[in-house]
Amino acid sequence: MGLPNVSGDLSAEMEVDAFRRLFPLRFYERHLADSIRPDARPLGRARDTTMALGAVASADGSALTKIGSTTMLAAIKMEVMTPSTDSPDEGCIAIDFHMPPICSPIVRPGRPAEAAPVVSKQLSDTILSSGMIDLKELSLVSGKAAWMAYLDIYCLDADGALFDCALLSAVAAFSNLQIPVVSLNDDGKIVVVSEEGEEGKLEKEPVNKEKRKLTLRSLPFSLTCILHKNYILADPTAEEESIMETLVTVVLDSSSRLVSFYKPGGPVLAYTSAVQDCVALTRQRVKELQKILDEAVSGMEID
Amino acid sequence: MEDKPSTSPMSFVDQIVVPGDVVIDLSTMTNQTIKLGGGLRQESDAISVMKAGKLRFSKPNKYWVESSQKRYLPCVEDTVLGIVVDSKAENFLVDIKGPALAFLPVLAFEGGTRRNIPKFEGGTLLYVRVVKANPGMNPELSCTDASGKAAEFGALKDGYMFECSTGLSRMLLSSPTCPVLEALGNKLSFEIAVGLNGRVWVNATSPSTVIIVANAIMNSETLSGVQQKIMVEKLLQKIQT
Amino acid sequence: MEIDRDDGRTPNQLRPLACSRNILHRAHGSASWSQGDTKVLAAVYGPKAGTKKNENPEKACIEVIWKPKTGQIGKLEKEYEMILKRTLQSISILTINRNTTTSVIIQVVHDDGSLLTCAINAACAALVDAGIPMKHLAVAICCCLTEGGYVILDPTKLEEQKMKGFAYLVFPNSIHSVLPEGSLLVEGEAVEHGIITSVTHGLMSVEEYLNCLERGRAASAKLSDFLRKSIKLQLPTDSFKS
Repeated sequence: MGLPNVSGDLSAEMEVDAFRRLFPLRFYERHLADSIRPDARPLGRARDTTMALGAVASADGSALTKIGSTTMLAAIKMEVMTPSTDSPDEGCIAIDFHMPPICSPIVRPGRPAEAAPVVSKQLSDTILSSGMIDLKELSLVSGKAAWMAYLDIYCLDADGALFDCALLSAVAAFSNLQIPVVSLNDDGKIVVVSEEGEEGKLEKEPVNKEKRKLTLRSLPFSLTCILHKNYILADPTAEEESIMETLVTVVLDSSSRLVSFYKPGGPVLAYTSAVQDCVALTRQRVKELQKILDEAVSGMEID
Repeated sequence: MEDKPSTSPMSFVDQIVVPGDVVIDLSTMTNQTIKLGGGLRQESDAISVMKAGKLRFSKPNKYWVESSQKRYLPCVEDTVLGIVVDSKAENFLVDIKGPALAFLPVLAFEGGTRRNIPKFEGGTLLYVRVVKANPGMNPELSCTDASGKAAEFGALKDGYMFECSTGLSRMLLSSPTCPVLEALGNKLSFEIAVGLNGRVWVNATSPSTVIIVANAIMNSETLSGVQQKIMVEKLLQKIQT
Repeated sequence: MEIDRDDGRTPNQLRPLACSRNILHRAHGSASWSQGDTKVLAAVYGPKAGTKKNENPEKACIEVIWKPKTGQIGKLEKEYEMILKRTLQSISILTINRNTTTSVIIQVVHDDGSLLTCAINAACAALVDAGIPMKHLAVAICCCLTEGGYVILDPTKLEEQKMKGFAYLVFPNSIHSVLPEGSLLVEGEAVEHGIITSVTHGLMSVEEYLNCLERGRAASAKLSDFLRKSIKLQLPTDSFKS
């Protein structure tokens, strides 16, 4: 075989798959020059996105989302807790992101994935700072009881743009969330009222009769782009992420405010024009995602 | 910013440069071949710096960045002090403070044959020469000079070895003899071997001499020539009283 | 327009900077960097032979270990480790010492705001000290956005808590060059205006972010001058020749 510098000449006589494996960067640059990607997408186009709400019956809210083959399952479980004294009338959200070994060949059993705590942290930062959820709405009895929302996101297939898919599934799970009915018992403690319980047997009024849904304000949506030379590739696959290492994740909320502009290093520097291009691509993507989410939600309501 | 618009490549010579600085523009130099030493790299027509240090130029066309580190990057023809870590059938594995262990072929000795392979225990200190230093490969050492003679290469017995920065060892090897060694040599008799990888070996008949020499050398890193002489004199006075 | 800061600084004013290198005897490179009361110690060991699993053996690997002032490391520290690792990888030349690992250990001495930026600056100075080959240096700056939409630089911990949002930005240092003016521009912008790393928290408009970028760039020029000066001061002067 040849050295990398002769790869240009070899491309004509080599099989495509061999060329792709041996000279991955050259392989991609050839495509980029023609403004196309190996999976036939134009550079700025994200992969097909699908969403199924209420995928986990035992959870209070759940969603399964797919962007291309990246698959995330998000589920919310609500628990009653005593709020901290610092914020007596606020609930709490605990977000955890899991990458089990089945999701990717680079995650090995017994060793936690490096990326998992980082995505986890990014998700909680994004969800909390976007102001999507008013923590005061999670309060039941001020100072006594509030909701703790445990949001767990499982990555079932990691094929790039993990954060985008995880955030989308988290937002979808929250819009699917049904808060359980609770009431005060004789000891002044909060107990969950079973759904099937006959209404007549209840001597206590439910505490949160009206508040079964969270009002979600300005949903955050994100788009990850790869910067490579002058090209911007939206929604990269795992292969693209491993070959071209400069990633930019932009999170915008539905009213186009910037929630996060995240670029962790990378050999390509982002200049103002690239920043603006990434933001513009994200704006477009937010509209798409909003539409997909709205369709999924209205689909649930009809059922 | 005091970014002087400078056109002559000489303007950076003997100045402190930091990574990223572009020191030479090849397109302005007409038909000139230049030799790049450590700390410089070429990116099309621009020669840029990748290590902080002083840009040096030696006639006719050599440029390099002089800096001081605690680690050593192997370079062909450097003489270094290595410590034997292990011995294999073909090679001794030698630690020379570099990113990878160096190989010393068992035959790389004067008149080396299969029959007279020397025996080195782990921990033996060797004075050796780097003969190969290719990226991605373990460097290769030799215990002979270019003509196959043992010269002064080989194991260093007894004495005391201490580590210092590569900058200090380069200073000790510079000619004319650096002030600290000159001052010490005037009063004391001792043997010394300096490896460019930041290791110094000292031997003398009395342990006190070894200690003084070692301390004087370690102290001299940041001192100027005059200061070095004063420092040595003070040290010597102390032991004489 | 002027906003008062508790310590009487102007919005663009940085806290006093201090940097010293080669302060640890055993580490191959080390530096301490302080911005006001925030102080971080960075130590570099290596390059050592071999790379870890999942790392590309064709390149040098940089590993970052974050030691908080007290307690154990959690998600926040893991995120900092990842940001630092990616940032340092992007300023280092990884193709020279292939299949080696360089460890960077960050010890927080005191946190009074702008911790991550302080750590990035310290790590960069420590890499210089260890002689790790680098494309260029990096300077990090924290920009804070007040409720009123003003930008203040290098916030203290107290200021960070009051802010609507903030952005950690990392830029290349301003380099000295023999090339004619203008030849270093990329898309009409100077190289040192390109973002190496950007991490933001809190809601802001895109214009506000761009405003942060602009202010950060102006401050990064000051920081990179400081970095260059402190490198010049602390290089061993081989004055013995004179």
